[in-house]
Amino acid sequence: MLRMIAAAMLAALLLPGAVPAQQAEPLRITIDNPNIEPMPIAAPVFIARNAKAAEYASDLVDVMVNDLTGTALFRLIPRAAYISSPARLDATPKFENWRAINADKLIVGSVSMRRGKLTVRFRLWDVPSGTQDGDGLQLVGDRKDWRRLAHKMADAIYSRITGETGYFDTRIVFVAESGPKNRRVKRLAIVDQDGANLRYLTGGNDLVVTPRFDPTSQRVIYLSWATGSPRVFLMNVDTGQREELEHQPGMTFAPRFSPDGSKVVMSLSIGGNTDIYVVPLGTRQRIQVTDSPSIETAPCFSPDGTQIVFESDRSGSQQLYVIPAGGGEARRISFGQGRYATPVWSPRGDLIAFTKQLGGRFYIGVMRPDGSDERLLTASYLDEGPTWAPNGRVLMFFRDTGGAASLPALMSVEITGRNLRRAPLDIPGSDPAWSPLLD
Amino acid sequence: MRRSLAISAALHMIIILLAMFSGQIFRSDEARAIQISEVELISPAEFDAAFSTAPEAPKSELPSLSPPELDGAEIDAPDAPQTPEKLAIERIGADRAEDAPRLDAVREEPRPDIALDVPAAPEAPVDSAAPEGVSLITPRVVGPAIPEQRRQRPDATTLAPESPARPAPRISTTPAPKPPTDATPAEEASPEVAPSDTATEVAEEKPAEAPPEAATEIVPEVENEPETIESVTPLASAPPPKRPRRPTRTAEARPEETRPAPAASPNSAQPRPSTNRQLGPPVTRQEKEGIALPIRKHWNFATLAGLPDADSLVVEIRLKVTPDGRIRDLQPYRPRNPEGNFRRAFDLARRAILIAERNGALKFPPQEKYERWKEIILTFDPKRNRVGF
Repeated sequence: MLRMIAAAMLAALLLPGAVPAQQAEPLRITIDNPNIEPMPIAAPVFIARNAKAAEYASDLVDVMVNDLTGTALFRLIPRAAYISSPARLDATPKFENWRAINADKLIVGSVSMRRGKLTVRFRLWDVPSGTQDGDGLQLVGDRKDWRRLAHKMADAIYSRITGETGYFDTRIVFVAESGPKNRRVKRLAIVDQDGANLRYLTGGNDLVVTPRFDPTSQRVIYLSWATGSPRVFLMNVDTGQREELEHQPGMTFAPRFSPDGSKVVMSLSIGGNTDIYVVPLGTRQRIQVTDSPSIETAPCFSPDGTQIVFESDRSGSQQLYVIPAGGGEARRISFGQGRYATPVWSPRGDLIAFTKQLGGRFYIGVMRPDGSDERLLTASYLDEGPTWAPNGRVLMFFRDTGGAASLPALMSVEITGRNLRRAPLDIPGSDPAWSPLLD
Repeated sequence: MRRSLAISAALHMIIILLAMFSGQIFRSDEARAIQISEVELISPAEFDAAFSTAPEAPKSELPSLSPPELDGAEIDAPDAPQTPEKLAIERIGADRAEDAPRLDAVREEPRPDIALDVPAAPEAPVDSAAPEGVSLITPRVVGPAIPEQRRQRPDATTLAPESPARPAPRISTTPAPKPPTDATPAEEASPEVAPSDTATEVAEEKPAEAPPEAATEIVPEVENEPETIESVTPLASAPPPKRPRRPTRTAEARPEETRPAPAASPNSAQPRPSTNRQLGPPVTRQEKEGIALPIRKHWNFATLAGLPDADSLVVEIRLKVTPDGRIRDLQPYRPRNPEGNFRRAFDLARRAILIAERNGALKFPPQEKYERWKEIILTFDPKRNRVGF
């Protein structure tokens, strides 16, 4: 019996066709090293639904496109190349016409105005696949806020394509500088991130430095010599109201808000020793965080509020340290050559930006919170004071090229190291601070 | 002996003295060529000031900055406060465009069905409701089977770009023919060929020019040459290649199949279920590059490159390809259901594939290897060097 079974099995094995035909495994190909280049987009002038809205149809698109192309992630295909123009917002575009000009994304919108209110509706289309990219959006606002409507559109499109929140409906507070170096006038100023709507917050009599935005509101904290000595002031940039944070002995400087806006961390110099203190805005009672004979300054909270990064010379040179927000043992995170200063924790928590001085030059760089993966993004005679865009993808700082007549300028760079460019601002400035997104 | 030694010593002494005092013998030309220039010492600060532009800083316009011209009163007073108003944002997604196509895997062009017996190809339909110009809609023709040769290779007059010849396999599977006998020298020497002075046509080298992004006016070619539409568009999906028939099993044949067939075996001419014969020779690296290169060319990862987890956004896409090199199915393979940033990474990869296919740039391996490349898994790995120093 066993012999018969074995013979049958052998015969089954030897018979041609008894085994299923050989199936090929799918061919595997790995594609790496992708291109990093601007995505071509098409943005025809919006459809004006009534005569009053016609004057905004082009300007809205221009401001929105300017936001998007300013990131260097997108480039606008010139409108002269468009084969057709959408006549209705709700009609499916003729994708062939947009593929013919190599557009990747198509933005179609309409605008109407009624009783002084602008209503903007738009859709984003993915041209290669011929699909709508997400839902359409409708924005309504006062006509004087038409630029903000355009920024909101750009935020929505940027978020849809990149997966990150936008940063276009934001403002920058900075120190506007004028005059020669020995008689430099420094005023607090605020401007939209695209350079529009410049407004001065302080006069030129008092020296002001290091303004910082509250991450949760439109308040600013800054250092002023208005009382004759450096003191920390709070200001509501919308109302112009300001107040001194505290009036106690000692010199306070380098203030910065906590992520929830309820506290301020800053340096306080008492008796020649500088340490870091946290001041709750409710009680205004100082809480000492560091206690060291060295100089501790430039503190910044982590996004979750549990840690503080700061600079200290306790090791003999200026280096970066991280300490629990309630105090404790500080941990050194910078070990490279040169001196490290002005650390700023990214809003998304993955990186810490800093200023580095090495060999007579200044650099803006980033590193992970544990000090690893340090990368320098810029270099110059003087690059200093980084601030993060609210989405943690772009850094702004100021650059001074040196020389007797030089004036600082605001610059920005992506954390990938690309798109280093001057901020669209017509006046010299330093110490920028990025606002959170407006409501 | 002593005399000659003394003469030799004296001559050597004379030569050494000449060399020491005249300097004519061992003076090098380099020494004569040295030119002394006056230099100016600058401080490190001045050096930095001179070269202080950061690498790649585009269009630094710092020197052009000028302080705002304000009078004293204006400087002293801050501007009036402004309070931004809240903007209302609503989604209009509920009323998605009614005719918005919802595509699952591969883009599907709206193509009217047209029978082959229609005497003339109709013009591309134009949406009268939306006067957006003429679109390049290609009709799909349904009719009798098209000859295999015609289906695979469109006419020379078609609008589709002709795909370049496939690269030859790196290793040939057939033995090379016997080389010819060695060349023998001619009895008479041939005169050397020189360029003719009387030549009239001289081909000028033209500098390479990139094609313009788009013309200001594009006339769809559909209107001008409707009769070529059939040949432009792949007429129908080609059937899969015929599988080799299984050999008829006969009582006489079985014993032959159970042992290695000799070269002259009568059964060797029939297709056998040997793996290599069914699947064809392996796909070479060069043939893989014929697929990978055009896709990589259109794979733009800029919009996701700044994400913290950008390097981990590896997606795999499974393609099913027809024998004539058309992608008939495109699905995410890993992750199966990409969401969030993986969905965006998948969209970027799919975009690259679709553009490469639309441009006719994909070069698939030869037909005899079709079984090996009818299904392809493409792995898109965005790891690359970051910018910085």
